[in-house]
Amino acid sequence: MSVTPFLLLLAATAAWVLLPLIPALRELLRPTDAEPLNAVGHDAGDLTVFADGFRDYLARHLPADAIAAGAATREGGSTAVAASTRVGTLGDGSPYVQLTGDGASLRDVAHADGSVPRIVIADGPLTLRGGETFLLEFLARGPMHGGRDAVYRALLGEGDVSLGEGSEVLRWVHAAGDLSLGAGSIVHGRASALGRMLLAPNVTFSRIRAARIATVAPATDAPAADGTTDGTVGGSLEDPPILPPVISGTAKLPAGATRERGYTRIAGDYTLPAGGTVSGALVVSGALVVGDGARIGGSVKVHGDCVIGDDVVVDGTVVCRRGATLGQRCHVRGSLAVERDVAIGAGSWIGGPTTPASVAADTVLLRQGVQVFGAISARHGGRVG
Amino acid sequence: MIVTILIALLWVVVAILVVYTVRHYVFTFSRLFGRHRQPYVDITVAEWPPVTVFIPCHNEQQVITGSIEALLAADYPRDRLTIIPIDDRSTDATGAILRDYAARYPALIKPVWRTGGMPGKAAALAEASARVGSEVHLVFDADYIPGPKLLKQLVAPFFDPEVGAVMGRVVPQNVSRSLLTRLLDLERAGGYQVDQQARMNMGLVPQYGGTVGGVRREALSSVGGWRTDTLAEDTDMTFRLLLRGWEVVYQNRSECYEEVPENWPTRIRQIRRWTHGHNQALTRYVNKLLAHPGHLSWLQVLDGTLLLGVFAVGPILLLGWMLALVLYYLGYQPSSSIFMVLIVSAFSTLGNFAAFFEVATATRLDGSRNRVRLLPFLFFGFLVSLMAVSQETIKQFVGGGLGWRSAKRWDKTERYRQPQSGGAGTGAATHADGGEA
Repeated sequence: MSVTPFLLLLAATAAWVLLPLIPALRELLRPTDAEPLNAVGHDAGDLTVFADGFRDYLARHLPADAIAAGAATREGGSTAVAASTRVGTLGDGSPYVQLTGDGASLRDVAHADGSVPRIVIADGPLTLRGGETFLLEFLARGPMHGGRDAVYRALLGEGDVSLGEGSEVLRWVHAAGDLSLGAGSIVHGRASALGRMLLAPNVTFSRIRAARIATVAPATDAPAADGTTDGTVGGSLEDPPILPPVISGTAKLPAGATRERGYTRIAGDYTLPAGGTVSGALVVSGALVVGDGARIGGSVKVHGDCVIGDDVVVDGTVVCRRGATLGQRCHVRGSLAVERDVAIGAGSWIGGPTTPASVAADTVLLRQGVQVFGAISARHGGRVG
Repeated sequence: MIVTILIALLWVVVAILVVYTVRHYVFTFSRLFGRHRQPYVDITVAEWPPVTVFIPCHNEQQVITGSIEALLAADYPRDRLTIIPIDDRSTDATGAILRDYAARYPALIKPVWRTGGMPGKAAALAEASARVGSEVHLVFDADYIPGPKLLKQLVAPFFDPEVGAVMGRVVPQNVSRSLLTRLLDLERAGGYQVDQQARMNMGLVPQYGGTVGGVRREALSSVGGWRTDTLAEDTDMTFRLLLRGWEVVYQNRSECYEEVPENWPTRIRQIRRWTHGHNQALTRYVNKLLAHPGHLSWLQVLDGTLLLGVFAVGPILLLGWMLALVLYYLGYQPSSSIFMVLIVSAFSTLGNFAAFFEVATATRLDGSRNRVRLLPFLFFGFLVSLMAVSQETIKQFVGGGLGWRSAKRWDKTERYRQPQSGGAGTGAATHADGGEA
């Protein structure tokens, strides 16, 4: 009896069994995805990473004569240099236009629909008419004043930057000075400023960061040099009051509340009456309502919703597993981390000039006169109401 | 009579495996379709508190330079950062390297030299942390390479007054070295990206893993500090914090590179060490957990109990297989459904930390492309783990070895990285005793 059929059957069975393993064997013998997961040390939380990258990019690719022309403009001052436009290509082939005067000369390189298909490098103070669409990045080396309804792919300002009403930033904007966003402006990506960031009504944003972020009233519509209005205003901004620390609490705690090592833990819902004081940190497993004028002398953790009345002071961070509402003129000296939606009442402060802080939530609603000394991250969007 | 008992036992085994199978599926669906919780990762600007970073070291000359250099590059405020490498009787050049760093950064790097007392990471941490007053204690193993933003990310959760410990994600760096490292890369991805994050999403019990993480000093103090009579001080700390009312949180975005074992004997020793420590925690805390302390939800109690029992699943699975065989030869003809359930459950619980579908889910979430093709080989890795875990568990429970191992030695994983330049003293003359008063 021949063994050949048996061996053939055996070989066919083995092949059949090994068939699903072919991709595994191929990946084992010829690895194509064996590098460490590229997840460590990314830009986590660094809002200026793109701006820094753009600076580096220009430093590598901008032609020497363009650099010299820009330096001459800056040294000569804005009044000494006649308006001119200089076009060319960067080292990597990207087209650019270099402005040494006002924005009117952009018309030379703009399409009929107002779009500018070049990287724009403005070496002096710049005022734009409005309505432009900048298809590539924009560098403003001097103060920049954008007009209404302009669209920017990305914008880096080495001085103050003011964007007019209805402006839209598609990727990021960074100002080395103050950044002012006109009413109804939309920032899709990141916005940051080393100085102040002034947000007019109905500005929408997602991740913003500045030494001081403030929501301000609409501009008086005073006309700019070219007849446009910028839609923003930034007057003097009041700092939060400095209060002495809380020594002891005055509020009556509910039965079952525990106090240990400066922590007060309350099972279930809790209402801190108006004017009441709690010393140390407070953890509430249910919902928390804080009456007007109350004070909490430490951080707060709330598992349910958190409603904070007017003129409340929290001497630490507020962490909320659900939604939070802050009344008017509240001061949270630490950060505000909310897992759902947060609304911050008019005239409230988050953090302080010497105590930076963050606001993080799914959605963030800022009323008029709110100041945040640090960063706001609105995962599903933020808005000035 | 015997057959009846064996059948009952088989049903119990199947029931336990079904519970773990459901758990794995729930976690997987949570990661695929559930709400993703990372409530603290966007706290990027803050008044950062003083932090001490502990690095327990025992003969770490190959890796300690990389770890310290990475910490020196961290963007944490220097005036609020202290790095404390704890040299526990190293006999290589570790001590010389640390002395050099301490001389160059006297305000920042303050080594602790251990020449006596109980050896091991837990004892080292217990001794060093007792001397430090900073609010947050972070712990890194000597082979870990934190990114510049990692310290702030790990500290951010401590602004939540309820958080007692935080755990980041461990990412293998030496992935390409062998089949084992590639399999461990997959297993780690499943364990962190799916298991840990699902627990975080669902408000359950994320596990503090003893490295790439930290503990609040107040919480540490409230539970009596680090226990030195355990091989898994991290698991032990997780449950003591939990029972005391503190939260443990996991941050998936806080990633840090590590070295994973490159050969099977090292891997087997590592998993047996984990098993031993984890089972110690099981016997210590399962009753206290099942007593259902008022501050814990029933889901947290259930998840915590299942987490404690995760290293017992291997032996239970083996028992199920043996029972099925014995019953078969005793002439028992069970319904096909019980065998079907056993087969499916066995497949789904074979991985201690992540089942096959959890690993596949993790690779998808990570955006990895082709590494998932190695999934069939994971079966062999899991089998090895199953045997190692079962052997250690049986030895512990049957052999009465649940206590502290009597051997006075460090239990740590072998290092593979080549000594790096940059830290003066690396590769220098052997440091004999590692000891300074």
